[in-house]
Amino acid sequence: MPREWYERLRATGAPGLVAFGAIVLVAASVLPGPLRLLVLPALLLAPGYAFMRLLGREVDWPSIATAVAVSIMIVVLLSLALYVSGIRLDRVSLGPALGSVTALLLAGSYSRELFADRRGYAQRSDRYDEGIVDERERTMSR
Amino acid sequence: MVEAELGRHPGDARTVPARVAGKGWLRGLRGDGAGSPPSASGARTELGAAALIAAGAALVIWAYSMAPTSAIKSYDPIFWSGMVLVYLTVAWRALSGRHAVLWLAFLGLFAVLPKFWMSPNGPIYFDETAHFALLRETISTGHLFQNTPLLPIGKFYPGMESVAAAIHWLTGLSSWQSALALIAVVHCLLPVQVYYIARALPVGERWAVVAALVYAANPSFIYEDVQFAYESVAILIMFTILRIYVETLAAERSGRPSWRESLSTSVLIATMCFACVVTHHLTSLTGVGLLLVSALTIGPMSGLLDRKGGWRRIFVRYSPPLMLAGCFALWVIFVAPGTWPYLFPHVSQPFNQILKLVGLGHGGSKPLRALFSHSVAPGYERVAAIAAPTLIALAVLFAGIRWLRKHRSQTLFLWSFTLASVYLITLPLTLIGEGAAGAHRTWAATFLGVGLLPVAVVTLFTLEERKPWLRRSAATLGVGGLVVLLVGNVAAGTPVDYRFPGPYKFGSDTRSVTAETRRYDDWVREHLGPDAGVVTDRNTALSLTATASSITPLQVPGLPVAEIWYNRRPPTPSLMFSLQYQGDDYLAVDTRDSQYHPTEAPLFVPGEPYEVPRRNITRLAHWPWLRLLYSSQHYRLYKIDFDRYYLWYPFHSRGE
Repeated sequence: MPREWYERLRATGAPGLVAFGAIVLVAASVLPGPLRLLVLPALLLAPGYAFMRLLGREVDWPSIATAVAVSIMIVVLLSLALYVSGIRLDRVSLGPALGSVTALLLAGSYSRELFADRRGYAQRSDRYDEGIVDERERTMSR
Repeated sequence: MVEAELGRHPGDARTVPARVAGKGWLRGLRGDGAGSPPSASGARTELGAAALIAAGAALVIWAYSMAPTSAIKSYDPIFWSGMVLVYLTVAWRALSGRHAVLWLAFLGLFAVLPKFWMSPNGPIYFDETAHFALLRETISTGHLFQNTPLLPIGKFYPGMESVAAAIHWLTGLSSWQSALALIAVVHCLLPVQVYYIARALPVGERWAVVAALVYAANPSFIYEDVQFAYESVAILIMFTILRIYVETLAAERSGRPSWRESLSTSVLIATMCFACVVTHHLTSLTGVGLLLVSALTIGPMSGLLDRKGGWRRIFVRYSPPLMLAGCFALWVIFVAPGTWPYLFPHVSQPFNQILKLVGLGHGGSKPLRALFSHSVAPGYERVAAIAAPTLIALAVLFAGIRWLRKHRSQTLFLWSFTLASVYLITLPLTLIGEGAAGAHRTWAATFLGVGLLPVAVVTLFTLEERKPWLRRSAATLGVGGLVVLLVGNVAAGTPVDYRFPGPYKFGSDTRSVTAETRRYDDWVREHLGPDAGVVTDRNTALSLTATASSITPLQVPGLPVAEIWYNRRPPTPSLMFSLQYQGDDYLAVDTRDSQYHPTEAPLFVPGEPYEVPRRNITRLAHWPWLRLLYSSQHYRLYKIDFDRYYLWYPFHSRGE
């Protein structure tokens, strides 16, 4: 079913592209000439999307403009951090740093979802258990 | 009509508003109950629109090809024909087609074309030349916080250069291509963010498109904010902060987000605020004002200033402006203390001039600038330049009065009126010599309010419920108003020589570069290498910095280089010692400095003498401590022998 296919792709596509973007950023310094143009969309989208995903924000088409601005923010902050650390900025330092940060943010977003799912399951379990206890109490009280 | 909007926070991953299901946002207009039936938007319509845009672009490029050798009256109408054709085509497709956001993004990208055609191969404006010098230094050294004498304050705001350098390093594009790519991406997203800001206020999709189109007609959109300067990038960051902020307030209207959601949004806003501060000072200050106005005017409001909304609501409403103000204060205190002495004169001097105007000040020359003085702009541009703010003022006046009398409960328009009023208040500052630059810098933000004036007028006067002929007339007037805004704002905001190439003009940032200048710059680059310290006037400094990568100190307190040009006596030992200490070993002179007087920016410093005495140029050839390295029809380049100067000066200090 096309709709189902589209929805499945939407659910997994964006994080997959972010992961691909992180890899492209890490490998930017060794990519051959024409392929390095792929780095531009990766640079301007992947870090921003990963950060927004970590914060639990909707990651969809309307978010592209925000994701680009957030990516710009991440590049600025990362460059500042490298400068303060005394690391010289160039493609050898910045590419892997950006790719690593993007991957970390993406991993963090999955961890957040896993934690939220487990907490939600625990809460539902507690409510279910309370419901069983209530049912038992009601049964026993008859 | 203003429509009810989002059911939930658009950033809420758990729910998708029914109106926004799937591709609704991307399509923009259709199926939202806006009132008009959708028009045919098949492939043929889109192709027709693309053909119109290609024709518009061709007209613009044709105008630029004619500009260097033709009078403005011959190419200016062609230019505006092309621009208006593109703007109206985008308006047509965005309002009646399926991909409003994409068309708005395209408009932002198209607006880069005129400036790009002015200077496809390198910087040409003063600010972007300075920033390009900073970018070159960042790339060559691998460190932020580089310095250029053309813009000393730029050292402390390295955000844009860090991103452009990252693009250069990671993509392999040249430094200028990286700069262009960054500005193109940033600029195409500006009208998109305006659209989403309007949508979250809330405003119907059609009127959000109109808001973005009106914003794209602001004085800075086509030439100022497309140059490689820190403001161009900072504006996108600020608009993104504002968008996240108004979307957060929209979520408050439709539900009660949790503390966790509010805190995560605050983290995002805080990091964006810091990035904005690191990128540009004035945009950060403007952003504080913008967020404050938004906090005080955008609903929902429970009690005065929303004090009954609960702690979480108060936190959501007031933390963003406080965060931005706090980031800016901390940055200025700990990293960029020179910001305040840099910005303060741009506030104090216009204020003093206003006092002089009303008779409370004293001293100084007449402060008023004449409208279009020394301008060759055609008559219709000047008429539009006066008509544009008049239209805005009338819209604010009539809609404001209507709102006060009948619709005060609709606080949505209060935000628009406030920003539009600030825009109108800053307009007279352009008549004051020292106020023009500061006023210009605020328009990129305050024009957001002007963008909502059309929906305010239509809603408050219930024009959509009137007879069809009245609605059509209003729509036609609206289209005419957009054209007047576009032409008038650009004419008022950007001088002609910043918009079009043309014949040589002494003192012009863009038209003082000739073939002789390029040969001179090439010689300096080849024989002196990059980072050669060259003392010279402002215009020569610009070309040497852009092309030869020279370091060209301008006059600052403690470095009165202008005395070499203006003083009857030779330069003082204190000046020469300062030059020697900085490594400024060369002196470059343009003999035209003594023949012409600059009409735009001074050669060295405001308030300098009217003309350079010719003998001050010819005496240089007789000073033994200056060795002539290069001579052309108008340019002279000397090597300074400081040791010989110190021996020579005691016997020649009284002048010749």
